[in-house]
Amino acid sequence: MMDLAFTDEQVALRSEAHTFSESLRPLLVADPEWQRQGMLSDGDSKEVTRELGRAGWIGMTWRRDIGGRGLSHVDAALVEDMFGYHWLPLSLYLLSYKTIGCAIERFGSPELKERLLPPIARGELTFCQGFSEPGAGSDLASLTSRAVRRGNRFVVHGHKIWTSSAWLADWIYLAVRTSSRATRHRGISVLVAPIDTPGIEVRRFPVLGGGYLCEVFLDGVEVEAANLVGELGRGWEVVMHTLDFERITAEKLGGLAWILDGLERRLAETDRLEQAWRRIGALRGELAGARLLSLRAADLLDRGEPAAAASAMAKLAGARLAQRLAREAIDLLGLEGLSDGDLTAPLEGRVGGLYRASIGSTISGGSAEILQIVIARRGLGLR
Amino acid sequence: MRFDVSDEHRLFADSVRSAIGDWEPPRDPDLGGWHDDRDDALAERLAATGWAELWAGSDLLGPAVAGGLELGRAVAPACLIDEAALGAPLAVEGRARHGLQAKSLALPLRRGGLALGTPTSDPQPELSLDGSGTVLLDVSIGGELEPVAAHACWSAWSAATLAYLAGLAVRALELTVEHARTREQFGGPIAAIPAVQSRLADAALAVDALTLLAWSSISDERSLPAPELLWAGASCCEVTASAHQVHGAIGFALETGLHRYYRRARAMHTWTAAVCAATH
Repeated sequence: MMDLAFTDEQVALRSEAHTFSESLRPLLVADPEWQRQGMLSDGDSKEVTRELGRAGWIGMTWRRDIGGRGLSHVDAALVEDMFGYHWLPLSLYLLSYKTIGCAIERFGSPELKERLLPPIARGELTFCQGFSEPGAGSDLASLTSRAVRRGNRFVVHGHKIWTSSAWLADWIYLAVRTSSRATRHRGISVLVAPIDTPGIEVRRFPVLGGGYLCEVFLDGVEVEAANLVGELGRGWEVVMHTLDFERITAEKLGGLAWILDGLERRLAETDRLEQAWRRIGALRGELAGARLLSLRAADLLDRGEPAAAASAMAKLAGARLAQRLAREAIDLLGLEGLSDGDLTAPLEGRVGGLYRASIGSTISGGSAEILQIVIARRGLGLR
Repeated sequence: MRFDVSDEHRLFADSVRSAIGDWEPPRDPDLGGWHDDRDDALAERLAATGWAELWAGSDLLGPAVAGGLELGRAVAPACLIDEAALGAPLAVEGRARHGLQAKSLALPLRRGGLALGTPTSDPQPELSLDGSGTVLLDVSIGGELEPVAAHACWSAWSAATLAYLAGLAVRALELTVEHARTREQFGGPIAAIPAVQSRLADAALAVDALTLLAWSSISDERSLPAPELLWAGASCCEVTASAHQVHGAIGFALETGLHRYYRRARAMHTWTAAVCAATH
């Protein structure tokens, strides 16, 4: 039967994740960026990433011999939801494991997997993702960064932008054009390279969410041919698979659940819950639906079934909920809902930050409009 | 966690679908009039599937969802849920749905309570948005159910109602996708128009979330009636409104029958919200 209850093992796993997350609280509170980051799953912290690796949380779905725990993607989503509830800064974790690491695990050569996955799992090797370019945002297939094969190396020229965590990451995962003769989608390949390779320059700039995004300049960057992920010219498949993982944003939903719990508690403390219960109930329903969409997409990935439309639904549901919850929370709390970055304020001053950060949630990782197209075409078969 | 529907529940859904047969509510009702779409023959056929025992235990929540989805798809009378799950037509805020002939009524009480009551005045038909046979009446509260029994009844009612809302939305979307693929404008099907695709994508997202939420009600221990019902009702209304928008003028014509989903969604949402308020 359709059984959407957690198993005993999943309950225990979430409990373990809860205890671990609580143990990181002193580390978090000491970090000023943690306080001003409005969507903490977008937060950057090498220290937290190392702790996640030491505790065996990175690469949960990978085999044990490469540092994983042999869990399912549904299990991983349940754990990430708990990490999000505790507002762990997860950007490096998500990039290194969930999107890039899982793509390397699926498409990488045996040598590449053996070289990169164990240190990723230990939290010692972190990645950023160089996909978007100034002229290739939603229309990613129009990217122009180019890699030319010279002997056993590729030489890369180009310009990436909106690159999360590039200022902290050890390596970069690059979508580049390796053939100009092939059709737009067929001429793309994926390479990985250390971020300190000569010719790579990273510039970071502050953004509304509270952290940074980066642009990455690639000028004659030499990348070993062995660092090709998947087949030459077949990178579009790798990129799309990567996005399927990226769009399951269970961690964001955990953070939103924390906000909703805190909002309900605050309204109860101040005798305002009775007037607000209906709006709170509707938000709880929307959250429950978004969580189920997220877990359903993870389940499809576990089964190896097409997940593009389901992942797009999961991402879009979470993004819209983030914006709605931020608006509703400020509306219900009134002026105290504008608190931003003050740990002593109601809800630790997170509501103002969420309002800032969530406006980007329908833009990053696939804009709402692109996700709608994916759902309409891949899910409903509309043409 | 498992996301596939069991053979057992598929079979039950099949038997509910067979019981519904070619029954359908009127396509061309007298708008603004009083209607009661209760159908005793349909109720009897449905009872033969075991539907009438919903209140009897948590192991029947799966069939409640499987059957509720089919009832929603068919825009079947709401009394089929109320009477199977609560034992009598539902009465709240001085109104009962399908209450014209009712000898007893199911009354929601604070904190998830449930009582059976009896009418103490002649029921007065109230002209209403859909054909749920709404009557105005006074009620005297009889015996209150034990909390465990009340919880079981509300669990079944919430599961079946969530599923009914999902079923309404599922069918409205199916009809609309079909229409978008066949209706041609600007030299091609309107399904190719990005604005139409966006609207249908949002509807599909809501439909999938509603369906998952309904199935999750089998295993969720929650306060009842579930607060999720408030979101589910509103989402169902949005899907049916989108169905009208994409159908365009033809959907506005009564003969297409699309209005049944739109009107029932709003009525179910409003009744559900009233129950949530009364049991809060």
